[in-house]
Amino acid sequence: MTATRRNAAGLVVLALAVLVPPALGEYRTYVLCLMAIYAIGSIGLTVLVGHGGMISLGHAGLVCVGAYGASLLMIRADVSFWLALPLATAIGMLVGLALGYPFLKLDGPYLAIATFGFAVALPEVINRWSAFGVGDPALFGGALGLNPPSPAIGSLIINTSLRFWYVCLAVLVVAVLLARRILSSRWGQDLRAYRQSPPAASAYGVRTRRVRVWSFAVAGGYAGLCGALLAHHLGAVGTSSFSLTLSITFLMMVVIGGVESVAGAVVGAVAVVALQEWLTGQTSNLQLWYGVALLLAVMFLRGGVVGMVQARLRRLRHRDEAEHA
Amino acid sequence: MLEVSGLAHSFGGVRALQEVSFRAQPGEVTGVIGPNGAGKSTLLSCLSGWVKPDLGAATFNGDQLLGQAPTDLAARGVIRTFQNLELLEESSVAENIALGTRRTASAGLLAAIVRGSAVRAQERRQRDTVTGAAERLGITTLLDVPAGELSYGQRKQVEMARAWAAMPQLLLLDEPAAGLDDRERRALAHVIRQMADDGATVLLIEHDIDMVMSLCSHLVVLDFGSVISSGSPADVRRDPRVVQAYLGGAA
Ligand SMILES: Nc1ncnc2c1ncn2[C@@H]1O[C@H](COP(=O)(O)OP(=O)(O)OP(=O)(O)O)[C@@H](O)[C@H]1O
Ligand SMILES: [Mg+2]
Repeated sequence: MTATRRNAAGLVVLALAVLVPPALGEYRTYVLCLMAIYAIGSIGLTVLVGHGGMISLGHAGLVCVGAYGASLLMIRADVSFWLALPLATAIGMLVGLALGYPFLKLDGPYLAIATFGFAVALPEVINRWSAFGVGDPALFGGALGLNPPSPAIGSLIINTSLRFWYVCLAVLVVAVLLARRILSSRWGQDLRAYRQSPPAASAYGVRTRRVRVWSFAVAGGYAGLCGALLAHHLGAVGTSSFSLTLSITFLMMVVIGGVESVAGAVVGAVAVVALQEWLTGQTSNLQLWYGVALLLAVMFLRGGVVGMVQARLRRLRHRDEAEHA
Repeated sequence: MLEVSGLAHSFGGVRALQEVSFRAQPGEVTGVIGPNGAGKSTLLSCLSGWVKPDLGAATFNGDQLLGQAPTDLAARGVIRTFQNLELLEESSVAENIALGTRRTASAGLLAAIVRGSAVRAQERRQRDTVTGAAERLGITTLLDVPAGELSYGQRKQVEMARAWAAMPQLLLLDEPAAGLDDRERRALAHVIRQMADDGATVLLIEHDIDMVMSLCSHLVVLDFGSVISSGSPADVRRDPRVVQAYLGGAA
């Protein structure tokens, strides 16, 4: 797709996203919000997995950091929701960095297991916090979790899904534009060079360790932002929302959309949430069909949904050119 | 000027380099030849920071080369190619060549996000360099094609374009002509000549004797890790030790 055509397509989607939701009703809009929030998280994972080639099974852990971070800031430090968003992003980045350093030497399955370990351990620490005897035993709200207050713009309280949808949409648009900028930059080129040939990258002056660590920071930042939005969306923040399944769901979003594409991360999030919603209303064999659908998607959608559409368009264009020649 | 003196390195029990000393001048192509396993690639790896030699010294324009990381050497203009190419297979040819411009570009995350005027100017320079390098190698029509889809000859050309884009001070080429046809070899020789004319110090490892004889003003012959002969191509060709090394095993 040419850049202009892609921008036009993006604007059409954006216009629909602004105009259609008021007609959708509360529940469907609620689901839309979830799609946008997960899309933000999955963009971060696209950077790490698609461009950096590093498989993380711990993305939900970073989202969890963002959700708890934002909630605590709002509840304990009386920080506004709007400030909590960038702060949760920053916290996610810091935790990403803190993971990126010790994991520098790990690749492939070893990295997957290390990140998995993080995602498993973190909720346990939160659940058993009172047993550690460090600080306030009720810091993380115990079994009830945390209830962050609703955001507000002046006297307008964001307490309906439609209002929150516009917040999510705005944040998503910024997240998408930022990701595209990051990935098309020299830094993004360095990251892709590192993934495909660490020797070539070093031989031409790429600081491979640095790019690698910072790609964890980017993934963590997006996850943190995702978590902050999710905290409000869920209403009550508890560790059960950040299970290992969520980490794998994020990976699926990235793979289904097309690992290297920012648009793919969004499409993947929309597709997976839509699939989950649809299947919830169907048979009791939910997990089975979910599994089958994923299997088919991975087997037949090389390059993900976005990759497939791009290939289709390329073929159409070639046929046009051939006919006009 | 590149000055190598007393370079020695062993892999386990294998003495890949022993007491290797020679000089290479800027503006010239210095050939490194020798039978398979003679230590040519090892020499190149020592000079580009990939292998830390056991003994010896190597300086380029007076700066110490040994003990530095490949990344740091690259930043200073020491650029090597790989015998097995090392292209970015899934990236476009343009992005492959753009890697060459890395050493003259800053690549911070913050710069990427802010994308100020300096960064935009740098992006423009990078695009110009990529186009220029592609023109030199005659691969402008391939710029959007993923490197993995190219023929072997084209892949070698992409690698040379990438090295060109780096504007190297010291260029270390490991068998750039291997696998190329005659026409591609001539084009390659032309590009190497131009890079030397632009002032680079070029070290050329090559088995294609015709190419070496026509391009190089100075040759270093390695056998079992030692320099067995060096001098002008004509002298080296007459040297009985060289004849012995190349034909000895077969005769
Ligand atoms: N990483 C390594 N580990 C162990 N031995 C090595 C290593 N690299 C090279 N060698 C050995 O060192 C010797 C010199 O190898 P080198 O690759 O430098 O030769 P070369 O002259 O480049 O040969 P060719 O013309 O086949 O490329 C060989 O005996 C080789 O087996
Ligand atoms: Mg070799």
